[in-house]
Amino acid sequence: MKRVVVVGATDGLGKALAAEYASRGGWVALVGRGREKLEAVRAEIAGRFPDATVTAVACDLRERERIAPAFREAVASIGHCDLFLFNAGVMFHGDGVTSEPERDRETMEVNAVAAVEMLGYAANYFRAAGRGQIAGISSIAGDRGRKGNPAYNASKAALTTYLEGLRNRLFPYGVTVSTVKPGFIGTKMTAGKAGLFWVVAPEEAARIVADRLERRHEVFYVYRRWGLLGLALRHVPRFLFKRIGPP
Amino acid sequence: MNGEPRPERVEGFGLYNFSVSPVYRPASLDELRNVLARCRARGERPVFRGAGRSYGDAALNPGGPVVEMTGLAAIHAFDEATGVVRAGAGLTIGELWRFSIPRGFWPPVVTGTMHVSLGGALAVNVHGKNGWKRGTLAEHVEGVSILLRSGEAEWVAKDDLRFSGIVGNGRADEPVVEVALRLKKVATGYLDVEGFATPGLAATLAALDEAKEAWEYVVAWTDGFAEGASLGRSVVHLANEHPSRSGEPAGFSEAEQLADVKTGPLPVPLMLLGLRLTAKGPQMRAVNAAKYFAGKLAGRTRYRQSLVAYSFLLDYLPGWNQAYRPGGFIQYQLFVPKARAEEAFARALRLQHEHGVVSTLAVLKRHRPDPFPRAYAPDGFSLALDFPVTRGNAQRLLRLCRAFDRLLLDCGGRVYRAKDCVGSAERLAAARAAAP
Repeated sequence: MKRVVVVGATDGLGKALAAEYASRGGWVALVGRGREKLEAVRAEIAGRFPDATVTAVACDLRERERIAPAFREAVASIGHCDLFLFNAGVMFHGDGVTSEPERDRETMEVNAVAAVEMLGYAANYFRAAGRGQIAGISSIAGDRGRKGNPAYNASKAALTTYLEGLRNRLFPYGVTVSTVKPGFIGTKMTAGKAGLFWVVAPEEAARIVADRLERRHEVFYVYRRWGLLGLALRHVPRFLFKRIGPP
Repeated sequence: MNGEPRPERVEGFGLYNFSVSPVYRPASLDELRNVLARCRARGERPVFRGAGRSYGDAALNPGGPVVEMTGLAAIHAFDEATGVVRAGAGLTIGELWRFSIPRGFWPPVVTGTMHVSLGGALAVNVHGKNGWKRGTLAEHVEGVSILLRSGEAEWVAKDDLRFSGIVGNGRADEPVVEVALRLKKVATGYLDVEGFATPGLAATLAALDEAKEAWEYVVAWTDGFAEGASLGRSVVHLANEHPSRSGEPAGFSEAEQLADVKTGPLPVPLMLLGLRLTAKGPQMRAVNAAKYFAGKLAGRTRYRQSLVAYSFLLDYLPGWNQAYRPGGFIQYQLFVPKARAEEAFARALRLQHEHGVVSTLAVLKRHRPDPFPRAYAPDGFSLALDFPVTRGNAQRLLRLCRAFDRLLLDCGGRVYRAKDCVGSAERLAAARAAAP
């Protein structure tokens, strides 16, 4: 009976999360870019889980004027919203040495600026509703700035901090805000990347994330061992991190 | 701030459905005109809300503003000769009976709660326990006044072709602002009630059907937990107008009407606490069984009861719906043609047990065909089933509702907009295809 909006639902973890909530019976609104692909995903999930109601709202987060209407349309399409899940994000793979300012800007605009705007609409909605749950898919990559992709790290750090602020702001209103740091998931974003470990399939990750959101966990990793690794990484001294830190 | 209301949580009476909407509360026709002009200027399409007693999402607007019409609650005229009252759409049935009973009149169709506005009641075209004898509310409406987009109020009489398009239309752009309702002249403010238990579904449906001509009000409370040979066991309540007799009170005062509303020895707050502790738990099986066996042990009972006490059972415990927080509850009401009713309701009651979600309150009624384009009542019966929504049962409850959807599609049944809130895409598509 839960009504869920998933932003960034056409691929990977977002698509798997949408399917997971559809499988649990409920109303799921998919928000994503690419109208045709989004509709195909909607039809696929609706076909697999006929008890669920699955809707689709096209929105490219790079088009600012679409963000507010997309939020309203997504909620309206399923009547009300119990859980707002922000999963959208971009990651560009460069050579790890050269900065690409235009791509870096786009990374920040989608992963951080658009995220903050859409999550802000969700925050106001749930504050007025007096209950509900927001979850943002951030990343362990936001725990430290790394040489390989500083803009991506910065965008996820911004998202993590923003979610923490929202959590503190919405706590008195009975709204839970969760930050999810999944670790490596076998998706398009990580395809072909070297040096990955503890990779989890999107479907398995979605099941774990949904279970932990059900228990209202506030900050969590898909595998708990990622939490230990994150803790360790956060405490590596700067002088050492810039010499031996991961890419 | 520009003077516009901030979005707030607006709930269906079942508390499961809500929307976050700016809510306008106009206190006059002029204020309503002003509100609508502002909404239209912004391209917003408001939903009009009465007293908020629809269980589901009928009075919610997930995509925009809500206009609460309860400020338009004045009684404009009453004709004692014809019984026709003209009143603002926001007037509730409770306010109406308080006005009409001292004059010897009673609303021809009332819901299980008196806190329903006339406009809201017409927007879903409510029925009562006298669904066979009197049909739906709109059958007793002489006409309505609607507020046109131009800002002019226009009278639409019942024989105007537009009238049937207004009945049951909860998403109209031009709201009903006044209703002319023909009230029923009553000899007294009392009913003669007869109650008896029936051992199973077939016997219950037969009892309701046999009673439908001789009795004005025909209703059965059903034990949703009963299975096997006891499936559908019920306590039937029939009622007719109590005749006027010299030396007896007429029951035309508010005090006499309310005197029969008896909630037992426990104070209401304690009863509400008890309900809160038991409403969602397995104790409801025992509560239902106790009610049935009490009815059976009592045999055929006959008593006099005020119209208010008999009609508005849902108002005995004010705020009872709050016991279902945080998840709320839904009501699924199946309307099924007579020929398929026994088979369909038996299946529905069994489906509950198969899915492990059993209705805590089940009610059966007899209906006659609804003549309006957005009809929901067939020549048949309805079975209303209340289900608490909890974290533990939500998934099973949704599957059960989908099974009910399929059952209705299969037997040519329908649902009722005041209650419906979880319809499947297939059923909604079928409903749209059948709509005018």
